[in-house]
Amino acid sequence: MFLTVLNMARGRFHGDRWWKVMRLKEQCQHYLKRSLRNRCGVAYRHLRRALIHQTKGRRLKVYATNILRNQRLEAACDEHEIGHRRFKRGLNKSGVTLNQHMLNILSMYEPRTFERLVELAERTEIETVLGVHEPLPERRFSANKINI
Amino acid sequence: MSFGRANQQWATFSRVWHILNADRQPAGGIGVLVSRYVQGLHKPIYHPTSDVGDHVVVVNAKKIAYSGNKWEEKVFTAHTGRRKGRVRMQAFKVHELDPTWIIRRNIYRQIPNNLLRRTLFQRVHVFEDENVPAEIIENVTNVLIGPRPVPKAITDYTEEEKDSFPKLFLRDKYFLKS
Repeated sequence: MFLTVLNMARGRFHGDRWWKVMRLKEQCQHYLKRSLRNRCGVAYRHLRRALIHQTKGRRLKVYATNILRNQRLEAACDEHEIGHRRFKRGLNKSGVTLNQHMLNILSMYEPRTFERLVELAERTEIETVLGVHEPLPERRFSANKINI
Repeated sequence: MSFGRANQQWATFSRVWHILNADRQPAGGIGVLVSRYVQGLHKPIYHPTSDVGDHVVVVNAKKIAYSGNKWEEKVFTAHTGRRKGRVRMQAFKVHELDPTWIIRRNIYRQIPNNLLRRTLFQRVHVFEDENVPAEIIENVTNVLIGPRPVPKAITDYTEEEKDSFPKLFLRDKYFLKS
């Protein structure tokens, strides 16, 4: 936007209103209404509100993504026929420190790896809690469970 | 994308039709289960704004089970908004008038209250008995297990099992009303 460093510096340190207006218009170029693209007083109100929403939304986005990732992990555990709390406990005990985001990606794109992680979690729990080698349940990996 | 991967993508994002037998199942539990599948919460690719929900066909809605005396004691209320417009009806009466109403109400209320609710509810098909139209049944590919393990009723036992079952006392004709 500002082709020379001099111009850029001038806009920041001197009170030339034209440069201030230019900086504001930069942010409003994608507005659909012509009056909002050209009339700065009106545009400033919209822009200010948008920036406030963005600031508040930064926290809300984190909150929402955590909820979504948890839901996805529960769904993946359900697909593999294990309780999600049991899975997390087992992974914790065995020292696997994958976070929810990575576990989601694995369950979507690397299903067989996720299946092995489920087996690891179960095995760890059996060996640490019960202290006995028990045969693991037979696992059918299928998204659609048919019980006839 | 290679040929095999394209097939996998289709299979992952396709809308699946499930069938659920409501025979001897609790109405509330069915609502929770069905709403979960209809929203797509059973899939690791779930997102609230992407359309990942499935269809669910509920069958034998007439044969729902309520514990205790709920059929007589549970009362469904409504108000038309006008004067003297309060309607109170016991559960068994509501079930008589419309056998699918109780299940549909439970499922509708379990789906979150947003603009997607009505479209998602259109993907729920409830039938009072096992007569399902052919155009729906031919889409079904998966069977869902109900929330309650179904206990065996007396009609489910065979004659041989009934005869071989251990008895407390012998059925002598002297002790029977004739």
